[in-house]
Amino acid sequence: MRANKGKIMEILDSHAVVMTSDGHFNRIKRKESMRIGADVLYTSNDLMEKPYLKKSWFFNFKTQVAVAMFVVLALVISQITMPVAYAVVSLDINPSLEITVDESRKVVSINPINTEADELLEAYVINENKDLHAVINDLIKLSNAMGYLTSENHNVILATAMIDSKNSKSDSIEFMSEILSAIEETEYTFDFTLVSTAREAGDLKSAKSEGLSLGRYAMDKENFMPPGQMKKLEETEETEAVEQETEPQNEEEKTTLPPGQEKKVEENKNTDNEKPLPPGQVIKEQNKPSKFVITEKKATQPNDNNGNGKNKGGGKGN
Amino acid sequence: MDSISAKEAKIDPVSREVFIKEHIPFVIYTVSSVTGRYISTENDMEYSIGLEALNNAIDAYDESTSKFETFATTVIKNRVIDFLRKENRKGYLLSESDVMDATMDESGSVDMRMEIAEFTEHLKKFGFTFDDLVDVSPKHVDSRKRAIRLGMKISGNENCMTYIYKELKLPVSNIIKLFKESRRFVYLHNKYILSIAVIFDKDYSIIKEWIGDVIRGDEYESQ
Repeated sequence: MRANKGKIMEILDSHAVVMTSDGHFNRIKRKESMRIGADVLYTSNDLMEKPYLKKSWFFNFKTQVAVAMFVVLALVISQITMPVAYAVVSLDINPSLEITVDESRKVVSINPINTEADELLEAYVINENKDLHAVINDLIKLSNAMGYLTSENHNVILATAMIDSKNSKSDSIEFMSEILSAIEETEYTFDFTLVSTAREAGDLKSAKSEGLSLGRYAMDKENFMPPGQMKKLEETEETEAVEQETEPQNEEEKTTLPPGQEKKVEENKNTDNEKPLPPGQVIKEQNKPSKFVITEKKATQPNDNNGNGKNKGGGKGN
Repeated sequence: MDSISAKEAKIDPVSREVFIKEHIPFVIYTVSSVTGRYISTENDMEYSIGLEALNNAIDAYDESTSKFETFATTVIKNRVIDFLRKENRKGYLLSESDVMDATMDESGSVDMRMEIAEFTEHLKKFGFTFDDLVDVSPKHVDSRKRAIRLGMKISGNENCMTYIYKELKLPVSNIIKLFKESRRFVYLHNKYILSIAVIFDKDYSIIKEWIGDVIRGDEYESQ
């Protein structure tokens, strides 16, 4: 241990600077009653050699410029490399979720809207290509496998909207038609009813503000009820007397048809009764023209490979 | 080695004197750690009490019980604490800081503080502080002497000083030509040399006096 004598030249928060009588400067630990100009006796134990990182380094001008440039560069790079959201597809089966895609139809993100969607997405591993059409088909199939899409809850509600309000509604309709064709081309082992609607960008914002999926928001807005739900509502609301009035109708049809297909079959009877559709073929019907399109997707039979109509009238429902 | 020295110091007055001198840093450190402040001068009462306690510790030390430093630390601490308690009991009207202020004013420390404050402001203009000088001041005493000598010479050159106050830096090329110094040395210690030049140019007499040992040594060398 060595003793030194120095004059206190500067007092800082954690230490003081002293000048020794031979012109050397030392940092010493700060103690009580230190005064500028006072002579102090200190030992080598009191010295602070390279004791701290200068506080001012962050506020140094060069450092600030470097940090600012780095941030700007990072932002520019992220803007270049980040996929740009182009459109949103909402899928409601219950699970309800929203899929955001870029212009090349690659999925940017999938946003669950309820807990069922959380469960569904937990079980789902997104395909490598992140292709929207494949993702929609996968999610519908997985919903069926997980018991969300059943013969009772058979509606798959799809809604599309472009994110940029400059893109017209016709873009949204075209986008939806792409999705419908992709579903049409896909083979399913189960039946379901597809309810689709193409919306405007404004609806997407309103849906978000109300915490609803785009599809649910559109149905609420248009006061639209999907076929199965319409029937359920009728069943619960109508009195027994009304039910008795409907009984004289063909009972065989009522028991065999799944809910929601009644109307279509009636139409088929009237117009196209002699030509039953082969399984997998899509029947289109517009509940409210230009708003919602209802499509029945039938299960593909294992022996109907070519879809040539040999098994006419096939499908689970029959 | 310490216990032997303590044993020798116990019986031989010359050895005792040498032993106490060697242990002055130890006394300073121990007293300072008890009081929580630095000993301001050698005339500090706590420092005297500490030295006296060290002397007594030499007499009372039994090498079979413990190390001398451990034993002496306890003795010094107890003595200083006793002294501080007695001082508190006296109940002076003046506080410790009042006494310190009075003492410093008497010894001309106000002038010292003014000089340091003015010097600090000058250094700020050059873009550094005393804290920066800790890292850039020459570590070796010979280098310090050389830098101080150069700073003194620069302060005597009006052109150099005008350049310094105008450009806020050393006229390195000029200095190399005028004073035959190596470029590396000037660049390496430029802040320190600049500070010394300002001290002498502004005639900060108290600071000059403070580093007088080095200057005087330098003068002897040149004679």
